[in-house]
Amino acid sequence: MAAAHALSAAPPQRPPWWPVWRAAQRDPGAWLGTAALSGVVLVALLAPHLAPTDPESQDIVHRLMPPLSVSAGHCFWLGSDQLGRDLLSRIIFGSRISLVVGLSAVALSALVGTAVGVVSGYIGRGWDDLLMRITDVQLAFPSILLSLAIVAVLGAGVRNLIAVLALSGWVGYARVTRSRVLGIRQQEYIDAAKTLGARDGRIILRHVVPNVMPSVLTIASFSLGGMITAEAALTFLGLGIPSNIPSWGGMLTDGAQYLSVAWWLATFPGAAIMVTVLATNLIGDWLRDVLDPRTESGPLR
Amino acid sequence: MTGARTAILAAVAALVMAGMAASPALTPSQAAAGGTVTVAQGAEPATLDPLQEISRTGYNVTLQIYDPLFMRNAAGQIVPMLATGYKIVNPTTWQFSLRKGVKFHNGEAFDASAVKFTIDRALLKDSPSNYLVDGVKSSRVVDPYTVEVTTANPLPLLLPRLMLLGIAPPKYYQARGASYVATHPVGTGPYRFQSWVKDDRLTLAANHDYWGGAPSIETVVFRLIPDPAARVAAFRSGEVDLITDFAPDLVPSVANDPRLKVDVTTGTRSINIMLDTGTGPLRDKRVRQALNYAVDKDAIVKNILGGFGTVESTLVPAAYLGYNARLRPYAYDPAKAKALLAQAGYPNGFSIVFQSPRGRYLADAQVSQAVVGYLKAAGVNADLKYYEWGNYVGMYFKHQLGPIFLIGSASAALDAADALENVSCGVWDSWYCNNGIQALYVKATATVDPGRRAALYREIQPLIYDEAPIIFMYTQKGIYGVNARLNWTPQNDETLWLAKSTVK
Amino acid sequence: MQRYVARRLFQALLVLLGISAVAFALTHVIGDPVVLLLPPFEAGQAQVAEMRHSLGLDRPLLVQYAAFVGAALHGDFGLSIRQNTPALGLVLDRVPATAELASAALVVAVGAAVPLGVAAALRRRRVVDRAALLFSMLGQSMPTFWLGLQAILLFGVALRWFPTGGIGGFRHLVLPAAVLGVFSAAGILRLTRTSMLDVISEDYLRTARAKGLRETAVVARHALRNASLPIVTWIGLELGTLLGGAVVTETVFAWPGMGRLAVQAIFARDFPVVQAAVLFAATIFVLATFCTDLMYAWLDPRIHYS
Repeated sequence: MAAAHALSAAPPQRPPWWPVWRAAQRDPGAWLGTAALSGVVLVALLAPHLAPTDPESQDIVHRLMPPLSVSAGHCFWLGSDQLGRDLLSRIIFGSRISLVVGLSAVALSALVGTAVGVVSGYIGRGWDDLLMRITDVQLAFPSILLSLAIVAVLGAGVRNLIAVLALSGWVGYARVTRSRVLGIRQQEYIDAAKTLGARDGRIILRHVVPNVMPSVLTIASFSLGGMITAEAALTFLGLGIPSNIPSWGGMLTDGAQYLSVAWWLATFPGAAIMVTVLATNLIGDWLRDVLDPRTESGPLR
Repeated sequence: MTGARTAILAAVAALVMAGMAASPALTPSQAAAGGTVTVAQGAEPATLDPLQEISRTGYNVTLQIYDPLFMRNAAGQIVPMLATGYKIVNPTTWQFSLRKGVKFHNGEAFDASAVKFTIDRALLKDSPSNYLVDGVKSSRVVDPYTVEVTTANPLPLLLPRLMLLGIAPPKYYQARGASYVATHPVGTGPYRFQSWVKDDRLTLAANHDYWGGAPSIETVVFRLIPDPAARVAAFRSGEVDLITDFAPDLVPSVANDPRLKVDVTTGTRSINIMLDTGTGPLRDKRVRQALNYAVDKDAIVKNILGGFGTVESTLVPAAYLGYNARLRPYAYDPAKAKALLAQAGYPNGFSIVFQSPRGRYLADAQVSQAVVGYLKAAGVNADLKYYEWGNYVGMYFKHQLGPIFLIGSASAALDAADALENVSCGVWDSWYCNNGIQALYVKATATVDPGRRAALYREIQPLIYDEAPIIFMYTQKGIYGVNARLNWTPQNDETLWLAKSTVK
Repeated sequence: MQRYVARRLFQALLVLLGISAVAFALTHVIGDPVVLLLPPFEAGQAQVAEMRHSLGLDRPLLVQYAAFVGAALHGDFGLSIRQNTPALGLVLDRVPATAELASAALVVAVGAAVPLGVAAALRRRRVVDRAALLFSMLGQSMPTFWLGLQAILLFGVALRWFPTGGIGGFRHLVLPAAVLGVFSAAGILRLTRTSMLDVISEDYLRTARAKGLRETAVVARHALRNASLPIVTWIGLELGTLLGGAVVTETVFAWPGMGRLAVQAIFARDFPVVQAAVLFAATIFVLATFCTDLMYAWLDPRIHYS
């Protein structure tokens, strides 16, 4: 009887997500970031239901109306742009483009970069040298110019933009993953697995990749913000998404011309970009603290 | 080891500092406040060879350095410059008498050989200035101050065309070569070349020996500020005294500043949307008319251009000789547009590519977008593509634009011939050909008497109107931002000449 | 150490070769050069073929590539299509302007970020730390051109403290350098802070403090010195990024640098200039990395003494 009591007095089992929870409590920024990012994702998903009007319908008689103006029977909550399109609707739909481009570019660059890093680190020797030289070449190229040149050739458009952004981002993943893999390769459990007859592919999948994921996730969350900003920059330089499709970068670029007469055109898309990028940075910071506390690699470019 | 590390850090810092110090001290020309005028343009000339640079932004610079034979003054009259008079010996031969005692900036004397040299160079097959001497067969030196020009057919417009041809010094060219001249120009004009920081600013200094009297403004600086908002910002802050192509939307931002004026001219630049009538649905006249009905040009001019434009009935602006005042512009009638499209066999519209420059003409990108919006409402899906101006104009000259594209044209001669060339046969800048209209056109361009010529032009225009080979749009007004300290008024033909201006 | 240096040198050369290959390939995809150069639309097939031959475009690709590399080594990238002057010359003309901007931005970034980062690390979780982190967050979240345009409106037009653009004396440099430096400053700040944090808790620092050394002495002589290596490496990388970021800043502030030249050349399909600019920038970057590697070799005793 006493033994049973003693057993029941043992401390409660912590659920497996406890460390993460504690880290989040210590870091309110993470909450803010997650909430903000989820908000943006929700807006993107529910865009057709949330936006008051068609983001592409022009009405040049009602152009450049300030926020909260009412005309033609409906309210321009955030004002109208230089072609009379409702800014609020465009910002809502713009979240789709920014997120699609950002997430796809991040996913693509993470995939390619991690694959290269894993192969490079695990197989080593000739492959390692070759792949690392390729990353060097890529790094040496000024990425904006490379992106511009490629988009100039292939034409502007969402797909090309994603490809080009991914191209400028994969190197960071490759480098970091490679150094992680090099570290892991020495570990004993890898040797043990090999002795037991496990094939390389299996080892990579079951041991290497899960170990590498934390770093990858950290870099990914930082680079999501970077991709969104890069899209804005490419649009500003003149090669981005065709301008009838609402994208925050495009709106920011067009709005920049009107800062002195119609501040709302640039302020709201700019705020949207900043909030999203801030959110991803906060999440990235938190992820790094939780998963990767001692690496000072930083966002490698 | 510690000392070494500190040394390394110090070395890095020193390198950075040295990097900064080593870059040349580039200071703007700080002439006295009354003596310098700064003009900001959205593009700078690629070369200062007057025969190679044919954009308006280029002429604005080169025509301060080089003089043409004639020029238009503020009242619109043709005044003698390097030529003091002319005689039409027979319908295809002109004789120009030249000004005596004029020297180029390097001391070389100006005479008929310089004029012949310039005209011959313009006549070369790949010369961009070919269009200014279109129709000229040859030139000949009669005596040191008389030059004779022979044309293939009677060419009533020879005189005004020569107004954009800056006369170049032959001996200097031959001594230095064309590529040196491109960056070290020497002319007879009121300003001499001083320096050029590429991509930033071009500085000109007054020519005190100018035959027309030394200019009052001592230094003229042409700055390059491609971004329209940045250009207006520089104007508002007083860094720049004169800007061209003031974005209509930004005009209100200087409304309350007494030091800044906005000068507007009636305008002679006609903006049109060209149609490649040789391909696809555009071959059908009804389709082209439908496109004209589909676009609300009044709304575009009123809202996007802020009223700084005049809707046209055809491609001939009101200021040109031969303008037909009887024609009313196509009305905005989307229902009729759809009906015409259905009649032509396109009840569901069609898709087509639409090309537009961006930042060259007033609000050009927005106008294109608005037009695309109107076309879409009529069922025509236009895929809008933007191009940077240098690229665009290159494609234009190579006849590579189309099937729908926006372009603006001006005429130094203010004559309908220059506009109608865009719908004539067999030339690089036309995407339409109609033999009946062509016959009339040829007849008109060879008619020397202005009255009879104008009548012929007026006869052609209803035909053009009906054929609708382009989407007729508007003539844009010239909007200039002028600082109140500068005494200068813009001219209707876009000439920017500072020799006779003063600063308060 | 010699072996290390030799290997790094060899790798650098390989990278340069790779870059040249990409630059070569790029411009052959940018557009058929013949179409770019032909006079208005009367050119017939014969003329096209003749031009192709005179440009050497009918030779096998490898031969063209070899010729390209050979010419490039002599600094010959051909003539700019738009301006008819040697392409490399155009690029080199602009280098001082970009160098001025990038180095000024770096000075601003380091000058602002390092002291702030140190202060933030020393006063962890207090106001300075929070403010520094906030600044670094914001700095990394704002698109550069957005910041630049706001700065022009505020400091150039409204306050008239600085010119709104163009190159000139010191006053023309302030706004562009500050704007360009903000993003780098944000990154350097975080790095400084974390490096310092790593180092501060070390035992030997506790010993130093226990010995009675003043706080500033501890920080300056011990902590900062040890934290400096990653910072210096980062700065080296930043220079490369700054050259890239300069493209946007140069466009906003109408700064006549290499970045803006490259952008215009890309739009204008002026491929000799694009090649020259890209190769030049990449070469500088490779040189910079090689120098950093050399510095590492010298500083890291494991390599130095091998």
